[in-house]
This record gives sequence, C-alpha cells and structure tokens, in this order.
Amino acid sequence: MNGLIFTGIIVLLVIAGLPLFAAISISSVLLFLSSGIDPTVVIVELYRIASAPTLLAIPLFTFAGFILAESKAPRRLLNLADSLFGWAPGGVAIVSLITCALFTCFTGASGITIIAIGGLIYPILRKHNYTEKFSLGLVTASGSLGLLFAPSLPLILYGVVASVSIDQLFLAGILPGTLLILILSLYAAKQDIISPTIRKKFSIRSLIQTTIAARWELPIPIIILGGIYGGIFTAVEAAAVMAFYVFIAEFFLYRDLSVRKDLVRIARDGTQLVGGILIILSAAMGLTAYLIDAQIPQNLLTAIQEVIHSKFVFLIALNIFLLITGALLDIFSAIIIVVPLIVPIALSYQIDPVHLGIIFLTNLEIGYITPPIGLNLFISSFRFKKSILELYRVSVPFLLLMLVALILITYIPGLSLWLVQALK
Amino acid sequence: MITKIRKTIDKFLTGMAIFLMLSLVLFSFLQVMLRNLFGASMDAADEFMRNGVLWIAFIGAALTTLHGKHISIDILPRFAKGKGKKILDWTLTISAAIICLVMTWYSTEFIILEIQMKSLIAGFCPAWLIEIIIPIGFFLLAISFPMRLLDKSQKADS
Repeated sequence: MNGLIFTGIIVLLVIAGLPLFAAISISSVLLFLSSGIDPTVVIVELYRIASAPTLLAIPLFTFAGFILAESKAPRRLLNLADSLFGWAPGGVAIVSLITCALFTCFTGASGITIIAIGGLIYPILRKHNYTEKFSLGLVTASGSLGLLFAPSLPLILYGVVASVSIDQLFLAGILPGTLLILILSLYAAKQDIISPTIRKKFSIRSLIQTTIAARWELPIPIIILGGIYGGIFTAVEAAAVMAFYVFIAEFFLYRDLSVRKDLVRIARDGTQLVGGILIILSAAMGLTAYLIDAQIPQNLLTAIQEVIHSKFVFLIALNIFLLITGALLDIFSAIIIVVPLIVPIALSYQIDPVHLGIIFLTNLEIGYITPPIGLNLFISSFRFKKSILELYRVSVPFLLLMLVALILITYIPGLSLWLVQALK
Repeated sequence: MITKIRKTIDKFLTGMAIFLMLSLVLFSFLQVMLRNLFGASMDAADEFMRNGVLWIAFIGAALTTLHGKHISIDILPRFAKGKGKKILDWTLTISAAIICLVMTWYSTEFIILEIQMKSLIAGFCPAWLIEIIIPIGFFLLAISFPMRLLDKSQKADS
C-alpha cells in the first residue's frame, strides 16, 4: 500500500516536471529501503561511474563541440558544403542536411542545432525558392540528424551504459547515418525537380576558397576516425586530442574566440550539459543495481518471450516501444533508463548489441519529430514562431521517410555491422 | 541578499567548472602524448581523471540547478499559468531539495564508511578526499533549488 502511494506521488511529480535525476534517486532509495537493504548502497553504486574508463570522453567531446558551435566553424562548413553541392538539384537543401548533421554530432544532439543553425539555414532555403512547408520541415527534421555519427554524445553514452565498444559504435553509425541523409537528400532533389529552385553554378574557385577557409577544421574527422581506426589511439584519447586541437584551432589559429571573453562561457555551458546528463547517469546506477538485484530484467525477458517468439516480431515491437520512448523522454535519459532493460532481452533474440545501439538511436532520433511531443517540434515552433499544429503537418513527409530508413536499418543488420566486421 | 549569495555560488561553481574542464583537457592530452611518443603509462593519472569526471558531474549539476536547466518531462509546466504555476514551482523545488538532502545523508554515510575502511585511490590518496564531492554536490544541489526560485521571484530570470 505504502509502495503504491509513493509510486503515485513520484509519477505525479515527474509529470509535473521534477528533475529526472531526483525522481530516480529517491526511487532507488525507497526501493532498497523496502527490501530491507541500507540505501547507502545507492551511493556505492553511484561511485562506480568513476571507474567507467570511457566516461572521460563525454566532457572532452562536449568541450570541443561547444567551442566549434560558438566559433564560425558552422558558417565555414556551410560555405564549403555549398560550393561542393550547391549546383545539384536540391543542392541547397542537401547542404543544409549535411551541415546540420555535422553540427549535431559535434554538439551532442541537444536540440541546439535548430536554434543555432536552423535560423541560419531557413532564410537561405526560402531565398532559393524552397516552399515554406518544405523548408520548415527540413530544418525541424535536421535537428536530430547526425546523431549516428562519431563523436555524438548519445553514441558514447549508449556505449558506456550497454558496455559496448565505442570504437565499434563509431564505425557502425557511418552507413546508417549516411542512409538517412541520402534518403532525405533524394526527397529534396525530387522537390526541386517538381518546383525548380534557384541553383548556383559550380565554381572550382569558390571550392578552393572555402576549402582553404576551413583548413583547420577539415583535419578533425581524420584525427578522430583515422586515429581510432588506424589503431593510434582509443576513443577517449581521440576525445582528448580533439578537445585540445579544437581549442588551439578556434582560439589561436582562427582567433574566432577569445580566451578572456568566451572561454568562461563555453566551459560553464559545457560543464552544465555534462553535469545534467551525468547526474542522471549517476542516479540511475542505483536504480539499475536494484532492478538487477530484484531480477526485473530476467522477469521481463521471460514475460516477453512468452508473447513474442520471433526476432522479426520482437524488432517491430522494439521499434514501436522506442518511438514512444523517444517522443516522451529526452535522448540521454532514454538511453540511461531503457538500455539496461533492453540489452539482455535483445541479446536473447540474437540481436548484436552494436546493431541494437544503432536501432536504438535511430528510433530516438525520429522520436524528436514524432507528434505530439517530439522535442524538435516544440523547439522549431518556438524558434520560427509557427503553431505546433503546423509543425506536425510539415514534418510528416520527413517523419515517414525517416521511418523507411529506420525499417532498413532495423532489418538489414549489415548496414550497421558490415564496416565493423570489415575493419576488425 | 539571496541574489548576492546565488551569484557568489554561481561564480565559485563556474570557476571550479573552468578549472576542472581545462585540467581534464590538458592532462588527458598530455597523457596521450606521453603514451604514444614515449610509451609511458600513468595509471594513477588515469584514476584521478576518471574521478575528475565525477567532480565535473556534480559541479555541472549544481550549475544546471542554479540556471534551471535540469532534464525533466515538462508536460504540465507548459500549461500551468499564474498562481497554479507558482504552487507547482514550489512543490517541485521543495521535493527536489528534500530528495537531495536525503542523498546528502546517505552519501555522508558512504564517506564515513570509506574513512573507516581506509580506501585508497591510485595507491596513496585517501579515497574519501575525492569522494567527498558526492555529499558536497548533493548538498549544493539541495540549496540551489530553492535559491533559484527565491531569486527568480524577486527578479525575472532569463
């Protein structure tokens, strides 16, 4: 009875907006108390995050991401992508997709893309004669694109929580992430053919100029991916090198940012994002320990195995469940709370944990624009001063296309695993 | 008065955040260089850096509280207005603060246990010296919640 009352109160508070870490913390304390175990165990479990070797990658990549976001790097990338693809059918839209994807993966996918880049891109799309409906839908959908590319924080966090190699996840995300961009690019090209937009001519001169302008940023992907896959360093070491490199490049080589004016803000904002995520992860350590202790994942597994007999059906159920999760929870909490429950179940259906990670993140990526409460719909509505209903309408075609990609990613494991196996 | 205290705490935490973040960046980079160029490995430094992440987590979380940016499912607050919103804000603030105090209590017990067990980090540093951030962090969170609301009710916060 007491248990029911407490559960009711906590659920009410969570819906009312109680910070998730607080709700998780008190739940684990109460659960341990109810089974007669000293809740100090919650803190012992919490402290275990200090022994997770890959966790260090999170503050380092965040720091680098915030520097890049605050510098003129997005503008330089946009220019470079424009001189590469601006001439093609749907070129400007494709440029937008690629820029958003890069920006999202470097800043950790916190909805910041729409605010920071969407505002830059939307007027450009409109100026090139793209319809309002298409432009708005594209900007909203691009807000979470790029989540599958290294070094996005959700990818790292999944690796930490599921104990899966981050190096492998970085590889696994490349093809599915490209697929998503490709499908949306084809749609953009089709739009352009139906109602032609203004295109610009390809110019080798502008390509050279924009490449030179981005000279210090272009080596970044090579440092990260080349470093990791060339066996030179681990994902955490890559994070260390990138953070240091980006700091030097943007503060001293480009001088976009000043140590006196900008460093304080960037370090503070970065620390806030890291703190906001890691405090939930810390709190969840206790809850996860309790769940395992109480054999909840096993019971869940048995219950599910009684109903679902094939891998195929399980994957459909998983997709539906995750789409709902993605629309309700932000991506970081969703990973922290749901992954420990899902991984053992997925393993019993012979789903590779690396592939599972990619399915997981693709679902959550789509959850961002799933009505009624996908986060990016609200951010876009706020940023572009359009009604939320209008945003539901404009994002539908993008949502459907991303669902097609999701089905391909879910049922063709090779998309995620081929590169991992090829480069082993 | 509250505004002044909040600003002081904010400044102190920001200072800590910058110090921790920059040290992590610098030391982890140095370590990569040492390991790859000279083959030197420093397990002790590794352990300290991992604990540094814990410090960043709590300092960052306290800053997040002061600036009201915690991750939550905020369906209800979007619709609440006027007096209802005020009551909702206070209910949430007090609940969160009490929860953080409970966590402060249990983490203090954890520290006492660690002192008694004489646990060490990297073989020489008493573990509790590093782990003390857990109770301090939860306590900072507990006072930051009401602090933000009190300050906000005096002056609109961005």
